[in-house]
Amino acid sequence: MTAHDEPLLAIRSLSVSFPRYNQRVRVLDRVSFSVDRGAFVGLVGESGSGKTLSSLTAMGFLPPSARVDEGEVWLNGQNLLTLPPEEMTRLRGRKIAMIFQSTRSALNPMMRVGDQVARAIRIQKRVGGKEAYAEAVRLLARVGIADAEKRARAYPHQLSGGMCQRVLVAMMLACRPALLIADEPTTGLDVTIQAQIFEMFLEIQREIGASVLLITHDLGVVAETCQRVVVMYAGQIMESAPVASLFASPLHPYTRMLMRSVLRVDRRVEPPGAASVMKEEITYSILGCRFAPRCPVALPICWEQKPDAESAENDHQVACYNWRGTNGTGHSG
Amino acid sequence: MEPVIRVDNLRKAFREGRSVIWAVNGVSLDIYPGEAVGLVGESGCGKTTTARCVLRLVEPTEGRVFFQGADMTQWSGGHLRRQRRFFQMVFQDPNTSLNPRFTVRRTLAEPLRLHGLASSRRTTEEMLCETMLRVNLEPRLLERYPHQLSGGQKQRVGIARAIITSPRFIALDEPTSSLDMSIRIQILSLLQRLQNEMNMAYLFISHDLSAVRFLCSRVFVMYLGRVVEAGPVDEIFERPAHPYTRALLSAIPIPDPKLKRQRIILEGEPPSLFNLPPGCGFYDRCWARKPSCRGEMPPFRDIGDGHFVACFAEE
Repeated sequence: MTAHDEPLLAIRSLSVSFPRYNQRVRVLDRVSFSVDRGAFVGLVGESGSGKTLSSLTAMGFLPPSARVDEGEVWLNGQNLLTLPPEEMTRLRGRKIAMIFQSTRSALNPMMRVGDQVARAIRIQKRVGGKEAYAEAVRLLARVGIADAEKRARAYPHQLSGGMCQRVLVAMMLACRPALLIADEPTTGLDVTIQAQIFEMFLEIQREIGASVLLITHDLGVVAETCQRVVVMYAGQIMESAPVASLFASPLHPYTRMLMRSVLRVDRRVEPPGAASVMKEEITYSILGCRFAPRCPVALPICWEQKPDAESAENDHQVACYNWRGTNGTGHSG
Repeated sequence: MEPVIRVDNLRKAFREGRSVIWAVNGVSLDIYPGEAVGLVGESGCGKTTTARCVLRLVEPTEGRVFFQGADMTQWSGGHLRRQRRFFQMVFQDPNTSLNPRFTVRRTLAEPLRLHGLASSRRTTEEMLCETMLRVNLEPRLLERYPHQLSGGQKQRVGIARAIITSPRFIALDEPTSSLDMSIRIQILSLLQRLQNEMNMAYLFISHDLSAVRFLCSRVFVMYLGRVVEAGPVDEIFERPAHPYTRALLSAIPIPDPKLKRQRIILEGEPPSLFNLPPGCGFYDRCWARKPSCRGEMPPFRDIGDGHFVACFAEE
């Protein structure tokens, strides 16, 4: 078996649940997707879709109340879920790293940012403190922080949100992970700063040759950066496809609804018709497809049994019993 | 036609110790009946402060605000309170703008009571139900508390509270930025429909330019407390003239993988309002700057079709 034919990250039938009152709520339900070597994959979905939770599971960052009910997370031929915690700690940073939406809480507020980057360097290399600090300053300059020597002595609260995100990218640059999970890396930043950070992030990513799993709710960002997209809803995978194919012909009723609700700056979007006005409550208790309560083309079986991902065309997978029935636009039953 | 709201050279200073910052630094704009005007810009540009001054939630330092021709800045507290039913506000985060200890019923009945708009219990009930239906909420939700509602439902309650007094004007401060996209477009469509039905004017404050394109007919772009560009939405979005507006528009990803665009990446971050450079505030980040931009503030010029811009480079 050649390791290079395998995807770098493969999540297989992963289910995770949390306790609620006397029951367990399954917040991830048989989730499967993969990230190939060198790929740039977008994981999209709205709040509560489980996109962040999937990546937290991969990082081994699940909160204590969560339980993995089934499934595997393979990275480089190792099942991360069976690794002892100290092994996992060794992998983190070197093989798999994550940058978060809330930069300020990802950084230690009590520690100067230069020291934080230096610490990341020393996890990676056996170097002395002085040397690591000098390298940290160099990396901070590399990610576009002007006057890096002075800024390295700053605490996170003394830096802007954009600057903090640059510090995190510098730490990632120090670790050179094979897989980088970026969870809404620019959400909450101003638009012009978002563009700056994203540009810099892409440059660094190409430099270290990391594969990327980008978690986002922004289909614009997906269209402009990703090669492949995975669409999640309420803890289930709805559809996954190459970017061009997903935008040209979304097959899942949920993806189609999502596409209709996207606003654009380059033209005025028509308001959605009454037929596509949806309820917003997410139901985790359904055995079948969790989009069924909002779905305009749901069949009785959809409520009972979760549809398997079906290959529609060219690497385009859809988990829907009735995706053929949705080709005419949203006719509600 | 007389504007509902006319803002004339509005300025607002905040003090911190000995230093003074001008959060709003000479903003003029007018809003006509039934019109939705967008006010866009990044954090700290003064867009929310402008709206708060317009509603006199904070007192402007200089300048005047006219509501249907009357100078609001001269109104006494009592008169201002009586007039408030005609200009309302919808806030960004319904989690902090709805009282968690009030049911929806009480939240909506409060403005009716304060302004004496319902003469009897029966008319109150009718107005509550009618308003709920207007914002697509079932009247049974009147008995719920905010924590029993979804994010979209809460924002609908925020909108219902604003429209229940039949205002002429509503300032909407980022009403959709905390919502998921499938909900966002529903709320924007609702606002659009209500505007047509009730002939209200909107000042829509947002950093989300795609939402502005959807809802508004004119837009004002702010940077560091000043309006740098203004005009009809389609005109500004198709032919932005100010280097800041051009960078802003080019920075927003478009959900179409076939589209390849040239992106203008700005250098640096906006300067601190505490030590603003003289001349154009955008100078340090501008790629089209000229030496003259440093010396004086470019005047706001008409470049045709109702399109205004404050820039020397665009001549």
